[in-house]
Amino acid sequence: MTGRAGAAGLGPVTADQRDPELSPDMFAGPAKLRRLTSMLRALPIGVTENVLAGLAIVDGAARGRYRRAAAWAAAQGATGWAGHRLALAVLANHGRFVAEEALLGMDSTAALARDVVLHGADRLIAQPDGALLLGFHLGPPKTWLRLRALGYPVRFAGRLQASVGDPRWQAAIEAGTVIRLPDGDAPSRLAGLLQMRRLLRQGALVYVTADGPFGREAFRVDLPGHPLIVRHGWLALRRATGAPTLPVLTWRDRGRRIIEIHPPLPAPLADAAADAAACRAQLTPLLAGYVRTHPAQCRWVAMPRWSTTAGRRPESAIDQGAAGAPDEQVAGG
Amino acid sequence: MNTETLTVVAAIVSRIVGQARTPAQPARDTRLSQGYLLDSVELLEVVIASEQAFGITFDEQVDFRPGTFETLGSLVDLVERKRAEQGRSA
Repeated sequence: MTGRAGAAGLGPVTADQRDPELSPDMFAGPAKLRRLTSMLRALPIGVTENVLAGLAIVDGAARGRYRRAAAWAAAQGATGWAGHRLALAVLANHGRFVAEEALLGMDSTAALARDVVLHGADRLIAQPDGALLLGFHLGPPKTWLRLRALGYPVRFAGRLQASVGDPRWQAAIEAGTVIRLPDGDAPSRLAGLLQMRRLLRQGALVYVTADGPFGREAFRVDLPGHPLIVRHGWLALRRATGAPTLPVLTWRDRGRRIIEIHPPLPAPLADAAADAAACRAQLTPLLAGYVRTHPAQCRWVAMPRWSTTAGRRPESAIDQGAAGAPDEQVAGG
Repeated sequence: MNTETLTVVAAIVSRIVGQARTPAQPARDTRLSQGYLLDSVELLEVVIASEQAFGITFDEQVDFRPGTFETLGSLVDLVERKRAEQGRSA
Protein backbone atom coordinates (compact mmCIF):
# COMPACT_ATOMS: atom_id res chain seq x y z
CA MET A 1 0.00 0.00 0.00
CA THR A 2 1.44 3.35 -0.97
CA GLY A 3 1.76 5.61 2.05
CA ARG A 4 0.05 8.95 1.86
CA ALA A 5 0.04 11.45 4.69
CA GLY A 6 -3.62 12.20 4.95
CA ALA A 7 -3.61 11.67 8.67
CA ALA A 8 -4.44 14.28 11.27
CA GLY A 9 -2.11 17.28 11.06
CA LEU A 10 -0.57 16.27 7.73
CA GLY A 11 -1.78 17.55 4.40
CA PRO A 12 -2.62 15.32 1.48
CA VAL A 13 -0.06 15.07 -1.29
CA THR A 14 -1.19 16.47 -4.60
CA ALA A 15 0.28 15.60 -7.95
CA ASP A 16 2.08 18.91 -8.34
CA GLN A 17 2.98 19.46 -4.72
CA ARG A 18 6.37 20.98 -4.15
CA ASP A 19 8.29 21.06 -0.92
CA PRO A 20 8.27 24.76 0.08
CA GLU A 21 11.95 24.71 0.96
CA LEU A 22 13.53 21.94 -1.05
CA SER A 23 13.53 20.98 -4.69
CA PRO A 24 15.34 18.07 -6.32
CA ASP A 25 17.72 20.27 -8.28
CA MET A 26 19.28 21.46 -5.00
CA PHE A 27 20.83 18.03 -4.51
CA ALA A 28 24.00 17.59 -6.51
CA GLY A 29 25.26 14.24 -5.26
CA PRO A 30 28.82 13.45 -4.26
CA ALA A 31 31.22 16.31 -4.98
CA LYS A 32 33.60 14.17 -7.00
CA LEU A 33 30.80 13.17 -9.37
CA ARG A 34 28.97 16.47 -9.79
CA ARG A 35 30.17 17.08 -13.31
CA LEU A 36 28.98 13.61 -14.32
CA THR A 37 25.63 13.85 -12.53
CA SER A 38 24.95 17.30 -13.98
CA MET A 39 25.47 15.87 -17.47
CA LEU A 40 23.12 12.97 -16.75
CA ARG A 41 20.40 15.04 -15.13
CA ALA A 42 18.42 15.55 -18.31
CA LEU A 43 18.18 11.85 -19.14
CA PRO A 44 15.39 9.51 -18.06
CA ILE A 45 16.10 7.93 -14.69
CA GLY A 46 16.22 4.40 -16.06
CA VAL A 47 19.03 5.41 -18.41
CA THR A 48 21.02 7.33 -15.81
CA GLU A 49 20.79 4.52 -13.27
CA ASN A 50 22.02 1.96 -15.76
CA VAL A 51 24.84 4.24 -16.85
CA LEU A 52 25.94 4.80 -13.28
CA ALA A 53 25.52 1.13 -12.41
CA GLY A 54 27.80 0.18 -15.28
CA LEU A 55 30.33 2.86 -14.42
CA ALA A 56 30.35 1.74 -10.80
CA ILE A 57 31.14 -1.82 -11.84
CA VAL A 58 33.97 -0.72 -14.14
CA ASP A 59 35.30 1.73 -11.58
CA GLY A 60 35.02 -0.88 -8.86
CA ALA A 61 36.97 -3.40 -10.87
CA ALA A 62 39.68 -0.85 -11.63
CA ARG A 63 40.03 0.25 -8.02
CA GLY A 64 39.97 -3.18 -6.44
CA ARG A 65 36.50 -2.81 -4.99
CA TYR A 66 35.31 -5.92 -6.79
CA ARG A 67 37.71 -7.99 -4.67
CA ARG A 68 36.38 -6.39 -1.50
CA ALA A 69 32.80 -6.90 -2.61
CA ALA A 70 33.54 -10.53 -3.48
CA ALA A 71 35.14 -11.12 -0.09
CA TRP A 72 32.11 -9.64 1.59
CA ALA A 73 29.81 -11.75 -0.59
CA ALA A 74 31.70 -14.84 0.50
CA ALA A 75 31.20 -13.79 4.12
CA GLN A 76 27.45 -13.81 3.40
CA GLY A 77 27.75 -17.41 2.25
CA ALA A 78 27.58 -16.59 -1.46
CA THR A 79 30.31 -18.47 -3.30
CA GLY A 80 31.08 -19.36 -6.91
CA TRP A 81 28.76 -17.72 -9.42
CA ALA A 82 26.41 -16.61 -6.66
CA GLY A 83 29.25 -14.72 -5.03
CA HIS A 84 30.23 -13.18 -8.33
CA ARG A 85 26.66 -12.03 -8.95
CA LEU A 86 26.30 -10.59 -5.47
CA ALA A 87 29.59 -8.71 -5.69
CA LEU A 88 28.58 -7.19 -9.02
CA ALA A 89 25.14 -6.35 -7.69
CA VAL A 90 26.67 -4.50 -4.74
CA LEU A 91 28.82 -2.43 -7.10
CA ALA A 92 25.94 -1.80 -9.51
CA ASN A 93 23.64 -0.69 -6.73
CA HIS A 94 26.31 1.70 -5.56
CA GLY A 95 26.02 3.39 -8.92
CA ARG A 96 22.23 3.42 -8.75
CA PHE A 97 22.36 4.92 -5.27
CA VAL A 98 24.63 7.69 -6.56
CA ALA A 99 21.78 8.54 -8.94
CA GLU A 100 19.40 8.64 -6.00
CA GLU A 101 21.80 10.76 -3.97
CA ALA A 102 21.73 13.36 -6.75
CA LEU A 103 17.98 12.86 -7.30
CA LEU A 104 18.55 12.28 -11.00
CA GLY A 105 15.32 11.92 -12.94
CA MET A 106 13.33 13.75 -10.27
CA ASP A 107 11.84 16.94 -11.58
CA SER A 108 9.62 17.73 -8.62
CA THR A 109 8.97 16.82 -5.02
CA ALA A 110 5.92 14.89 -6.16
CA ALA A 111 8.21 12.67 -8.20
CA LEU A 112 9.91 11.69 -4.97
CA ALA A 113 6.63 10.32 -3.65
CA ARG A 114 5.95 8.18 -6.70
CA ASP A 115 6.49 4.47 -6.24
CA VAL A 116 7.21 4.82 -2.53
CA VAL A 117 5.61 2.20 -0.34
CA LEU A 118 5.58 3.09 3.33
CA HIS A 119 5.11 0.46 6.01
CA GLY A 120 4.55 1.45 9.60
CA ALA A 121 3.08 4.86 8.86
CA ASP A 122 0.88 4.41 11.91
CA ARG A 123 4.03 4.47 14.04
CA LEU A 124 4.94 7.88 12.65
CA ILE A 125 1.47 9.25 13.22
CA ALA A 126 1.54 7.88 16.76
CA GLN A 127 4.35 10.30 17.67
CA PRO A 128 2.51 13.63 18.00
CA ASP A 129 5.20 14.92 20.36
CA GLY A 130 8.03 14.24 17.97
CA ALA A 131 10.58 11.50 17.52
CA LEU A 132 14.03 10.64 16.31
CA LEU A 133 13.88 8.71 13.06
CA LEU A 134 16.97 6.56 12.99
CA GLY A 135 18.33 5.76 9.57
CA PHE A 136 21.33 3.68 8.52
CA HIS A 137 23.72 3.53 5.60
CA LEU A 138 21.77 0.58 4.26
CA GLY A 139 19.88 0.70 0.99
CA PRO A 140 19.24 3.78 -1.11
CA PRO A 141 19.73 7.28 0.31
CA LYS A 142 17.47 10.27 0.94
CA THR A 143 14.83 8.38 2.90
CA TRP A 144 14.02 11.51 4.86
CA LEU A 145 13.27 13.40 1.66
CA ARG A 146 10.95 10.65 0.46
CA LEU A 147 9.06 10.86 3.75
CA ARG A 148 8.74 14.63 3.31
CA ALA A 149 7.43 14.08 -0.20
CA LEU A 150 4.74 11.84 1.29
CA GLY A 151 3.71 14.73 3.51
CA TYR A 152 5.48 13.94 6.77
CA PRO A 153 7.26 17.04 8.13
CA VAL A 154 10.56 15.27 8.65
CA ARG A 155 13.63 17.36 9.35
CA PHE A 156 17.07 16.12 8.44
CA ALA A 157 20.30 16.48 10.39
CA GLY A 158 23.52 15.79 8.57
CA ARG A 159 26.58 17.12 6.88
CA LEU A 160 24.64 18.39 3.87
CA GLN A 161 27.59 19.12 1.67
CA ALA A 162 25.20 20.14 -1.11
CA SER A 163 24.13 23.15 0.95
CA VAL A 164 27.61 24.61 1.37
CA GLY A 165 27.84 27.86 -0.56
CA ASP A 166 24.43 27.37 -2.15
CA PRO A 167 22.03 30.19 -1.16
CA ARG A 168 19.01 28.13 -2.20
CA TRP A 169 19.39 26.20 1.03
CA GLN A 170 19.08 29.25 3.25
CA ALA A 171 15.30 29.05 3.61
CA ALA A 172 15.44 25.38 4.55
CA ILE A 173 18.21 25.98 7.10
CA GLU A 174 16.45 28.97 8.65
CA ALA A 175 13.19 27.05 8.88
CA GLY A 176 14.97 24.16 10.58
CA THR A 177 13.92 21.79 7.81
CA VAL A 178 17.54 20.75 7.60
CA ILE A 179 20.09 20.99 10.37
CA ARG A 180 23.68 21.25 9.28
CA LEU A 181 26.28 19.32 11.19
CA PRO A 182 29.31 20.62 9.38
CA ASP A 183 32.75 19.17 9.07
CA GLY A 184 35.15 20.93 11.33
CA ASP A 185 35.64 21.54 15.00
CA ALA A 186 33.36 20.45 17.79
CA PRO A 187 31.82 23.86 18.58
CA SER A 188 30.70 24.21 14.94
CA ARG A 189 28.77 21.00 15.22
CA LEU A 190 27.42 21.69 18.69
CA ALA A 191 25.05 24.37 17.40
CA GLY A 192 23.43 21.79 15.13
CA LEU A 193 23.09 19.28 17.95
CA LEU A 194 21.46 21.87 20.18
CA GLN A 195 19.09 22.81 17.40
CA MET A 196 18.13 19.15 17.11
CA ARG A 197 17.49 19.08 20.85
CA ARG A 198 15.27 22.14 20.64
CA LEU A 199 13.32 20.78 17.69
CA LEU A 200 12.77 17.42 19.36
CA ARG A 201 11.53 19.18 22.49
CA GLN A 202 9.16 21.15 20.27
CA GLY A 203 7.73 17.93 18.88
CA ALA A 204 9.51 17.63 15.55
CA LEU A 205 10.34 14.48 13.61
CA VAL A 206 14.10 14.56 13.14
CA TYR A 207 15.85 12.08 10.87
CA VAL A 208 19.47 11.23 11.55
CA THR A 209 21.68 8.32 10.63
CA ALA A 210 23.06 6.19 13.41
CA ASP A 211 26.17 4.95 11.66
CA GLY A 212 28.72 6.32 9.25
CA PRO A 213 32.09 8.00 9.37
CA PHE A 214 31.70 10.59 12.08
CA GLY A 215 31.62 10.40 15.83
CA ARG A 216 32.78 8.29 18.68
CA GLU A 217 31.69 4.68 18.49
CA ALA A 218 28.81 3.84 20.83
CA PHE A 219 28.65 0.17 19.93
CA ARG A 220 28.97 -2.07 16.92
CA VAL A 221 26.54 -4.50 15.40
CA ASP A 222 28.47 -7.59 14.39
CA LEU A 223 27.52 -8.67 10.89
CA PRO A 224 29.12 -11.20 8.55
CA GLY A 225 32.02 -9.49 6.80
CA HIS A 226 32.11 -6.10 8.49
CA PRO A 227 30.48 -4.66 11.58
CA LEU A 228 28.11 -1.73 11.41
CA ILE A 229 29.51 1.01 13.63
CA VAL A 230 26.89 2.95 15.55
CA ARG A 231 27.97 6.40 16.71
CA HIS A 232 26.98 8.07 19.94
CA GLY A 233 25.36 11.35 18.90
CA TRP A 234 21.77 10.18 18.53
CA LEU A 235 22.03 8.29 21.82
CA ALA A 236 22.99 11.50 23.63
CA LEU A 237 20.07 13.32 22.04
CA ARG A 238 17.52 10.69 22.93
CA ARG A 239 18.70 10.69 26.55
CA ALA A 240 18.64 14.49 26.62
CA THR A 241 15.12 14.78 25.22
CA GLY A 242 13.38 11.51 25.99
CA ALA A 243 12.37 11.44 22.34
CA PRO A 244 11.04 8.11 21.04
CA THR A 245 13.50 6.60 18.58
CA LEU A 246 12.09 4.78 15.57
CA PRO A 247 14.46 2.75 13.38
CA VAL A 248 13.83 3.31 9.67
CA LEU A 249 14.94 0.85 7.02
CA THR A 250 14.63 1.17 3.28
CA TRP A 251 15.30 -0.83 0.14
CA ARG A 252 14.46 -1.00 -3.54
CA ASP A 253 12.16 -3.71 -4.79
CA ARG A 254 11.36 -4.01 -8.49
CA GLY A 255 11.23 -0.28 -9.15
CA ARG A 256 9.53 0.58 -5.89
CA ARG A 257 11.11 2.33 -2.94
CA ILE A 258 10.12 0.58 0.28
CA ILE A 259 10.40 2.44 3.56
CA GLU A 260 9.71 0.63 6.81
CA ILE A 261 9.17 2.42 10.12
CA HIS A 262 9.92 0.02 12.97
CA PRO A 263 8.61 0.00 16.52
CA PRO A 264 10.35 2.42 18.88
CA LEU A 265 13.51 1.44 20.67
CA PRO A 266 13.17 1.07 24.45
CA ALA A 267 12.57 4.30 26.37
CA PRO A 268 15.88 6.08 27.08
CA LEU A 269 17.75 5.11 30.22
CA ALA A 270 19.68 7.67 32.22
CA ASP A 271 22.79 5.51 32.26
CA ALA A 272 24.51 5.87 28.90
CA ALA A 273 26.02 2.40 28.82
CA ALA A 274 22.77 0.70 29.77
CA ASP A 275 20.86 2.75 27.22
CA ALA A 276 23.31 1.84 24.46
CA ALA A 277 23.09 -1.83 25.40
CA ALA A 278 19.31 -1.77 25.27
CA CYS A 279 19.33 -0.13 21.85
CA ARG A 280 21.94 -2.55 20.57
CA ALA A 281 19.88 -5.51 21.69
CA GLN A 282 16.90 -4.35 19.64
CA LEU A 283 18.84 -3.13 16.63
CA THR A 284 21.07 -6.17 16.13
CA PRO A 285 18.44 -8.63 14.86
CA LEU A 286 16.82 -5.88 12.80
CA LEU A 287 20.02 -4.95 10.99
CA ALA A 288 21.23 -8.52 10.67
CA GLY A 289 17.91 -9.43 9.11
CA TYR A 290 18.18 -6.56 6.65
CA VAL A 291 21.66 -7.59 5.50
CA ARG A 292 20.52 -11.19 5.16
CA THR A 293 17.49 -10.18 3.06
CA HIS A 294 18.99 -7.35 0.97
CA PRO A 295 22.74 -8.02 0.77
CA ALA A 296 23.10 -6.37 -2.63
CA GLN A 297 21.93 -3.07 -1.16
CA CYS A 298 24.54 -2.95 1.60
CA ARG A 299 27.36 -1.13 -0.16
CA TRP A 300 28.51 0.82 2.91
CA VAL A 301 28.62 -2.29 5.07
CA ALA A 302 30.30 -4.36 2.36
CA MET A 303 32.95 -1.74 1.58
CA PRO A 304 33.01 0.87 4.35
CA ARG A 305 35.04 3.98 3.60
CA TRP A 306 35.55 4.68 7.26
CA SER A 307 37.46 2.82 9.87
CA THR A 308 35.78 -0.12 11.53
CA THR A 309 38.72 -0.67 13.84
CA ALA A 310 37.63 -0.71 17.45
CA GLY A 311 38.74 2.14 19.69
CA ARG A 312 39.50 4.77 17.03
CA ARG A 313 38.98 8.39 18.11
CA PRO A 314 36.46 10.42 16.13
CA GLU A 315 39.24 12.46 14.53
CA SER A 316 40.76 9.25 13.22
CA ALA A 317 37.46 8.18 11.76
CA ILE A 318 37.23 11.44 9.89
CA ASP A 319 40.79 11.06 8.65
CA GLN A 320 39.91 7.67 7.23
CA GLY A 321 38.34 9.36 4.27
CA ALA A 322 34.74 10.27 4.72
CA ALA A 323 35.03 12.06 1.38
CA GLY A 324 32.72 10.29 -0.98
CA ALA A 325 30.54 8.91 1.78
CA PRO A 326 26.85 9.67 1.50
CA ASP A 327 25.79 13.09 2.62
CA GLU A 328 23.73 11.69 5.40
CA GLN A 329 25.80 11.15 8.43
CA VAL A 330 25.52 10.48 12.08
CA ALA A 331 25.12 13.31 14.56
CA GLY A 332 28.29 13.15 16.54
CA GLY A 333 32.00 13.81 16.64
CA MET B 1 34.61 35.23 38.35
CA ASN B 2 33.18 32.80 40.85
CA THR B 3 35.82 30.14 41.49
CA GLU B 4 33.13 27.77 42.63
CA THR B 5 31.57 27.93 39.15
CA LEU B 6 34.93 27.08 37.63
CA THR B 7 35.31 24.15 39.99
CA VAL B 8 31.85 22.79 39.19
CA VAL B 9 32.23 23.23 35.43
CA ALA B 10 35.68 21.63 35.50
CA ALA B 11 34.24 18.70 37.44
CA ILE B 12 31.44 18.31 34.89
CA VAL B 13 33.87 18.26 31.98
CA SER B 14 36.15 15.83 33.78
CA ARG B 15 33.26 13.48 34.54
CA ILE B 16 32.21 13.44 30.91
CA VAL B 17 35.64 12.90 29.37
CA GLY B 18 37.11 10.73 32.15
CA GLN B 19 40.27 11.10 34.15
CA ALA B 20 42.51 9.89 31.34
CA ARG B 21 41.62 12.93 29.24
CA THR B 22 41.49 15.47 32.06
CA PRO B 23 44.52 17.78 32.02
CA ALA B 24 46.67 17.63 35.15
CA GLN B 25 45.87 21.21 36.17
CA PRO B 26 42.74 22.47 34.46
CA ALA B 27 42.48 26.24 34.46
CA ARG B 28 40.47 28.99 32.82
CA ASP B 29 42.65 28.90 29.73
CA THR B 30 42.47 25.10 29.26
CA ARG B 31 41.15 24.55 25.76
CA LEU B 32 38.09 22.31 25.57
CA SER B 33 38.64 20.77 22.15
CA GLN B 34 42.40 20.44 22.42
CA GLY B 35 43.04 20.14 26.18
CA TYR B 36 40.18 17.81 27.01
CA LEU B 37 39.76 16.49 23.46
CA LEU B 38 36.03 17.08 23.67
CA ASP B 39 34.03 16.16 20.61
CA SER B 40 30.73 17.85 19.76
CA VAL B 41 28.55 15.27 21.46
CA GLU B 42 30.61 15.52 24.62
CA LEU B 43 30.21 19.29 24.43
CA LEU B 44 26.47 18.70 24.21
CA GLU B 45 26.66 16.58 27.33
CA VAL B 46 28.64 19.31 29.09
CA VAL B 47 25.98 21.87 28.14
CA ILE B 48 23.17 19.64 29.40
CA ALA B 49 24.98 18.81 32.65
CA SER B 50 25.71 22.51 33.21
CA GLU B 51 22.05 23.34 32.74
CA GLN B 52 21.11 20.73 35.32
CA ALA B 53 23.85 21.72 37.78
CA PHE B 54 23.12 25.44 37.69
CA GLY B 55 19.39 25.42 36.98
CA ILE B 56 19.79 27.38 33.76
CA THR B 57 18.59 26.89 30.19
CA PHE B 58 20.67 27.79 27.16
CA ASP B 59 19.23 29.04 23.90
CA GLU B 60 21.62 28.13 21.11
CA GLN B 61 20.17 30.84 18.93
CA VAL B 62 21.13 33.56 21.42
CA ASP B 63 23.73 32.35 23.86
CA PHE B 64 26.40 30.75 21.76
CA ARG B 65 28.90 33.09 20.18
CA PRO B 66 32.21 32.39 18.49
CA GLY B 67 34.65 31.38 21.17
CA THR B 68 32.04 30.36 23.75
CA PHE B 69 33.41 26.83 23.85
CA GLU B 70 37.02 27.64 23.28
CA THR B 71 38.24 27.31 26.86
CA LEU B 72 37.04 26.27 30.28
CA GLY B 73 37.00 29.96 31.19
CA SER B 74 34.81 30.99 28.26
CA LEU B 75 32.32 28.28 29.21
CA VAL B 76 32.35 29.43 32.83
CA ASP B 77 31.72 33.00 31.66
CA LEU B 78 28.68 31.80 29.72
CA VAL B 79 27.32 29.94 32.73
CA GLU B 80 27.75 32.96 34.98
CA ARG B 81 26.17 35.25 32.42
CA LYS B 82 23.20 32.93 32.14
CA ARG B 83 22.81 32.62 35.89
CA ALA B 84 22.83 36.38 36.19
CA GLU B 85 20.23 36.77 33.43
CA GLN B 86 17.91 34.15 34.80
CA GLY B 87 18.42 35.42 38.32
CA ARG B 88 17.29 38.89 37.20
CA SER B 89 14.25 37.53 35.40
CA ALA B 90 13.22 35.20 38.25
